[in-house]
Amino acid sequence: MAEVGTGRHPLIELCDVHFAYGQQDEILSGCSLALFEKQKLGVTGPIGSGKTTLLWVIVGLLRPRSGTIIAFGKERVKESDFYEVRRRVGLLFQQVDDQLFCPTVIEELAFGPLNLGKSQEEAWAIANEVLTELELEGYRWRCPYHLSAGEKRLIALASVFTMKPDVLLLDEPTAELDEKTRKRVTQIIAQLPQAMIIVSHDEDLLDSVAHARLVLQDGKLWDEDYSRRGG
Amino acid sequence: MEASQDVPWHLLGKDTEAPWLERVDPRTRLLGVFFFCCVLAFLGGWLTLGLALGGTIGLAIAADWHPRKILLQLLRVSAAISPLLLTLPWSTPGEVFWSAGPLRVTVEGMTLAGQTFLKVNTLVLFTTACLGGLDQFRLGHALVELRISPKLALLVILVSRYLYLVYDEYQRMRRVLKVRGFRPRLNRHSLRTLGRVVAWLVVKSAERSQRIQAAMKCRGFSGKFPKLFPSQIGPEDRLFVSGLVAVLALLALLGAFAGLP
Ligand SMILES: Nc1ncnc2c1ncn2[C@@H]1O[C@H](COP(=O)(O)OP(=O)(O)O)[C@@H](O)[C@H]1O
Ligand SMILES: [Mg+2]
Repeated sequence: MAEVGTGRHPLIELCDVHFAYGQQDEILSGCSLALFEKQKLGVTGPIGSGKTTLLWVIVGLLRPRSGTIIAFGKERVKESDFYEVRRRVGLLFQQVDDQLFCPTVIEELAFGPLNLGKSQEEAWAIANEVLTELELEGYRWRCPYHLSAGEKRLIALASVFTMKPDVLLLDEPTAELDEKTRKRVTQIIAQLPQAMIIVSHDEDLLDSVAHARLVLQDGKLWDEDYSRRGG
Repeated sequence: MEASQDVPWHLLGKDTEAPWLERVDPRTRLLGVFFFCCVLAFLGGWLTLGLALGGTIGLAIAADWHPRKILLQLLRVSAAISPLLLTLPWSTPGEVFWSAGPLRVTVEGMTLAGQTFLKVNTLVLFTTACLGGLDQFRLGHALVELRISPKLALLVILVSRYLYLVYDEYQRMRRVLKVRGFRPRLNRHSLRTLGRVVAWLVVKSAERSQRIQAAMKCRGFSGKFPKLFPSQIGPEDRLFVSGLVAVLALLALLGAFAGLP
């Protein structure tokens, strides 16, 4: 395998991260991983094993009990440390319903760039660029709540792209999609240049996209290096 | 509405095929409602109030409301205030019009009930015709731009998002119960199930609201809702304002001449 990005510093690095919800048992009990530039990392694992939790910990939505999170070369501890992380890391939620809340698709896509301080014209241009890229122009004025599950996911994905993230965290991006949309999403993901962590059970998706796979089980990430890509 | 990048900027975000009232800037509509309510509060007299209601119905029709929708709304509002309308005639002191035993229906009471009926219906119809088509975002942005209160605007946006969420979760649960053959009856099983549904609803909605908050954080939200389209005052706004001023002036004059302030 043409070792992707090794030798440089990883973009995201977790060291021995422990996490539990409140006083419950630990969901993550010593997770470590490193994500390098251009690397696409697949993560699988049984339902309820903590995959979603892991992604939330990376962007600081949940704070670990112990362990370190290093993102873009800096250790991230406080809430304010994670502002930059969230700006540069795009997270696609498993429940896309909760990610959408603007009255029209175009405003949904412009929401992120506007929050990052872009002007109205710039945000409009970026949003349209992404709509065109993903061939979603027909949805420009539609209301995001009233779309089908598959369409919602595409729009949510698009609204993550408009933030121009350096790293993508995709939580089951192809779940609940019909065959056609699933293929389309797989294709889109395959073409993306960004480094990403893909949580998925979709074998086709991981086969065609992931450079390496990890399995989350019993609170730990286990190597399952298939080395399928690039020989 | 089909739009491309060649559409002039000031038209973006404005649905050019929407009824004209929808194209009036939300700020103008909000201010319009405010002044209309203020003036109407001081008006009296059958003719004045009747004209006000007639004019408001005209506005609703001009805003593409179906007459049936208008009628339905009037009926609903009347039903809601019917306790007031039914008690006013015999609880207001004045010249007795008709009496039966201890009940005394007075002329003043009937006048008050009738005019209350007209006023409330006018107010509600005017407000819903003007603001009904606004989603929480446009309303929130209008509140911010009028410098009323950014906090209030945030509250409007978040509360309406939350209500939608609870409603959505409720619909989902109703579907689940239906699919599983649940039919509400007045027995212990039904009541227990409904109790669980309510508890579940609260838990689910709370969980989802946390996810929504997380999603907003991830997209750089920092307490201020950004706005994609610049607001612009256009010909529709001028039409709306001049029409409103003319009508309000007419009503005020009528009220003054009729000697019924
Ligand atoms: N907010 C929460 N509070 C308490 N427990 C939670 C919460 N969210 C998830 N869990 C629990 O944590 C475990 C891992 O959840 P999750 O990360 O969503 O798993 P996965 O995404 O792998 O299916 C599950 O057992 C789940 O019940
Ligand atoms: Mg999950």
